[in-house]
Amino acid sequence: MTRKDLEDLQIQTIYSLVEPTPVEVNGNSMMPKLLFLTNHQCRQLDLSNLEKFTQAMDINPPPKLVINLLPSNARQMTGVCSAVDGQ
Amino acid sequence: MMASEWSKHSVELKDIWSGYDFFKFGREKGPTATDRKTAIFLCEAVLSVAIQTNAILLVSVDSCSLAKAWGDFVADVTTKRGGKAPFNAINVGHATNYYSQSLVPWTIAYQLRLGSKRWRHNQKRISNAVESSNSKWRVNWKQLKCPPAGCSYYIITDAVNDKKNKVDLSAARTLMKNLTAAFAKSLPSIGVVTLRHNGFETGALSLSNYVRRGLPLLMLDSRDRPQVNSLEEAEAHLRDFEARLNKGGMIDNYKDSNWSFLHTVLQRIEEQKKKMSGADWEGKTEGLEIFKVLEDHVVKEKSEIEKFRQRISSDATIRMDATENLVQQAVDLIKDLEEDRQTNDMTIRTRQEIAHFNELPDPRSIDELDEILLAEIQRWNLNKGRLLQRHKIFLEHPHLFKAIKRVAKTDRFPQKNTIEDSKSCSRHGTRSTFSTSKPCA
Repeated sequence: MTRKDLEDLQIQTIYSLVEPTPVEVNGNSMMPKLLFLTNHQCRQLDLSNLEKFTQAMDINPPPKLVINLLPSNARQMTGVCSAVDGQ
Repeated sequence: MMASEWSKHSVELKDIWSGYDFFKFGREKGPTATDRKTAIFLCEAVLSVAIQTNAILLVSVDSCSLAKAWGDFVADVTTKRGGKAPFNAINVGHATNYYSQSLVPWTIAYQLRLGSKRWRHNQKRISNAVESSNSKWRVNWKQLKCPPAGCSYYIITDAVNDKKNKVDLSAARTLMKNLTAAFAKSLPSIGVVTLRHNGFETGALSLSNYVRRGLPLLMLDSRDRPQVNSLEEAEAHLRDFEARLNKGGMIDNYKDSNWSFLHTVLQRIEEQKKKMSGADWEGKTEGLEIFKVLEDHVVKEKSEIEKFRQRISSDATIRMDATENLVQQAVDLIKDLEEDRQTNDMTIRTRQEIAHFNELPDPRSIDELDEILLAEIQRWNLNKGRLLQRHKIFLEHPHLFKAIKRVAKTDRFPQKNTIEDSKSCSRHGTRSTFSTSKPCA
């Protein structure tokens, strides 16, 4: 079995790819789930069946809304601040 | 000043331009009022909605102010609720972009890599691709990209093209688009953007594409604004604001805040027209009309940004009725302000940065130069020397940045810090990139 074959097999059962990963934030322990994919697996990931995907990721409780926080950068690039207090 | 001292200095400065820590409110290095209000919006408006709707939040890297602030809230809320929040945040990212931070102990990237067998297993491929794409010099690598804290799920792709042994971000980008679309199909969704989203053309292009996909977008303006009822007043306000910031040695980089402000002004003008012409009058700038005008100019592929730039600068291609003309005036206003801003940016930055460069240490070895460059890249986001290329005056500065240009653009650097290697490079047409001479004033 080639690596590609193995990756194809894995992506069919993405349950097996999800890893609970301990992370400590500000002294608090959390256990987020990590889905690490190769580019090949990423392209194979089928999102047409969203229910299967959310089940695999064990997303609960079932969401009623999606909020997309688009990249919004503060004072980047310049070394010069873009805003001052009160403005 | 020694290179090691600069490294320490850069850690403090990092806080200035990366995403900020919400819990540093009120402290000297905390967020400014404009940024703070976006964090308050998240805390008071978005958080409660997220809790009520068990929302899914799609978040970017932690250099994004929204993602960073959200991560801080979530970590706090999750702890208070016994380790599980009633909503979920998902970060989609690239392991190649996170590579540098994944080596820094106790960053989120580091902890995720440590806890993931699959990430660790692929680390060598990732490392090879990063080096192959960006050269072995760390100055060329992404330095500070890191997943935000507080996510329930991290979807991380290796972002490696095995055939070319190069970084390839396309798969994760497509996944993020598909994920957004898939969720939007079955659930109500809303996008939130504020401050600065990419550059002028790329930012407008990206937001325009987002709206064109039929996805609702909330543009936030967290600045205190006067009541403005015309584009002339809006222009006067924006120019005055820019001038005030310039006096303080700053420029107005928050383009999306300004888009939002102008959008509000346009809506106000439409409302006034509606009142004046009776109830039957139908305004055309409701919703996100400003983006419809942008869409007229925006081409689909990013590779055609130059065409986009030419198109929006050509009045001859614009065909609009009276109402659309008003919107076009708003777009033109932003364009004009952007040109002025670039000039101001050049003037202010040149003055400040030249003074800073003159204080940089003279590297005595390649290792020291590498340290200095890393410190500078953290301070300055010196990605592949693009910033230097844009501001040629720095390249003409006779000290360090001639060296940076050579380092950032070539791999022909001595393999070891020895005279033999240095001579070898000289024979191949590259001067030794470190000198023992004093910097010129």
